[in-house]
Amino acid sequence: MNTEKTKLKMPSIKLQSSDEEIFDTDIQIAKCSGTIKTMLEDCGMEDDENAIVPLPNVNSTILRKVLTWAHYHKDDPQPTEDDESKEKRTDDIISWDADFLKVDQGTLFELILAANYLDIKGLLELTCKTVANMIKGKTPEEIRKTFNIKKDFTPAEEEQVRKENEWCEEK
Amino acid sequence: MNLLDLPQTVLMDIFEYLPYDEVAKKREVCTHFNYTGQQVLNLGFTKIILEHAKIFKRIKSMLPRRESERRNHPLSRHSDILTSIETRISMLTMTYSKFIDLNMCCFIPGRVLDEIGEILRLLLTTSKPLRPHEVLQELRDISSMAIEHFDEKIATDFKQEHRKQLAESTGTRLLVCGPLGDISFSGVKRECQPVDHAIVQQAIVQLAPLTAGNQPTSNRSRLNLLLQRQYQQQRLLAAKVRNLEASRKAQDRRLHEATGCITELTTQVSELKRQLEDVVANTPSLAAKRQAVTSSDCLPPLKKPKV
Repeated sequence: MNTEKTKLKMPSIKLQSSDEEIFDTDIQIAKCSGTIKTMLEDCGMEDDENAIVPLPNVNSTILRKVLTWAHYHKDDPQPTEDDESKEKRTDDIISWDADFLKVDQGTLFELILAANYLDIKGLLELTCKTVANMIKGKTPEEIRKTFNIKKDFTPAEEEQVRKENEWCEEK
Repeated sequence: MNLLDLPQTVLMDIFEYLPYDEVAKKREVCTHFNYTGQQVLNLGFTKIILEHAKIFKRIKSMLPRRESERRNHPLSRHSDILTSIETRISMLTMTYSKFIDLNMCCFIPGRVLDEIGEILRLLLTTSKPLRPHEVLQELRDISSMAIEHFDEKIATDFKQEHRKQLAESTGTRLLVCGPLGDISFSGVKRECQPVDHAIVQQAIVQLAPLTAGNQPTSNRSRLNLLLQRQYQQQRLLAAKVRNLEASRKAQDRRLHEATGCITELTTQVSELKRQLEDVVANTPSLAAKRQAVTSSDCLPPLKKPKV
């Protein structure tokens, strides 16, 4: 009886990942993605229990993670349209999110891509902050090492950038 | 998957979470970081200008219209600080904008953006009177350092490069328009003058057979003369244009310097005025005296009609 009630309250929807796995998802959770929300509303699929939403840009591993995140954050208040003056903070990540993002770099970047594609503001913000924290306070050489980046400057270009940044070195 | 595989917009989003000073320093990582950092810094400069304008408008709307009342308003210091920031922003714009527009550099001093942002946030969060001098000192220091360094070390190279580019572009334009007699604006084209001459000569020669057939030789010599005269005139005009261009540039430079001086002085004056008022306000005897003076100033005209 109880389960039936919740079922009535929470209509679900089927999401299909790029590797064709089907995810039965509460519509409320799926709708934290701006992309899916528009898709559902524009196509009038909301009332159709059997409608399948294909997500060709997200594989099942990543989609599972995204849905886990969305499930945990389903009761978050809607992000307000923030004014620009707000300080750019990256130290306000809650511990659940921090644990959630203890993954390898590849997965992290895939999550960013998925959040970007699915238009999930909160997740995109979180993942971008996490990468920003990985960049913060590191020297260029350390960053190259961390992210496996090759220095592809010509000597002249490198000298130019270095020279431009010289202005704030104390004498 | 690598960090650099992410779309440009996402990388910019990530950079937006870093202080602009870090963005500036991270440009040294690789060309992709450099390019992204430049975009973020330029955008940051535009954003801070808009933000400043927005706050300034808001504070101004809260202040009374009368200057005498405005001075005693708790937010008057806010407005002073915002005026000083405006001056700084216009100095920075004068320094960097031209080269940003020419795509030769970006808004280099990220730290200045951070500092302005911090002051703006401070203005938004407190409504008690602030001390402009203390609040602005760091911004004054670092923005001057940045501008000086840019003018002395960076812009000189850019100017040379720009001149070279300009010369090259006029060089090609000359090639295209040569037969029509192009005027050189850069004045670098001196060695090309004989070519011009040769073209005129050639034109004369080419025209010669056309006219020779059915026209008497007098016509030919007249044409020759006309062409010669035209050529002389053209050279004269070109020289004039060059001269004018040079003097305009000198004038521009002087104007630029003068504007910088004036804005600097204006802020100093308003700062001093503020400090003087502080001193006056803190010295009760002086304040009393001043009041006495003002009251005695006011009274006579009231009495006079009676007498």
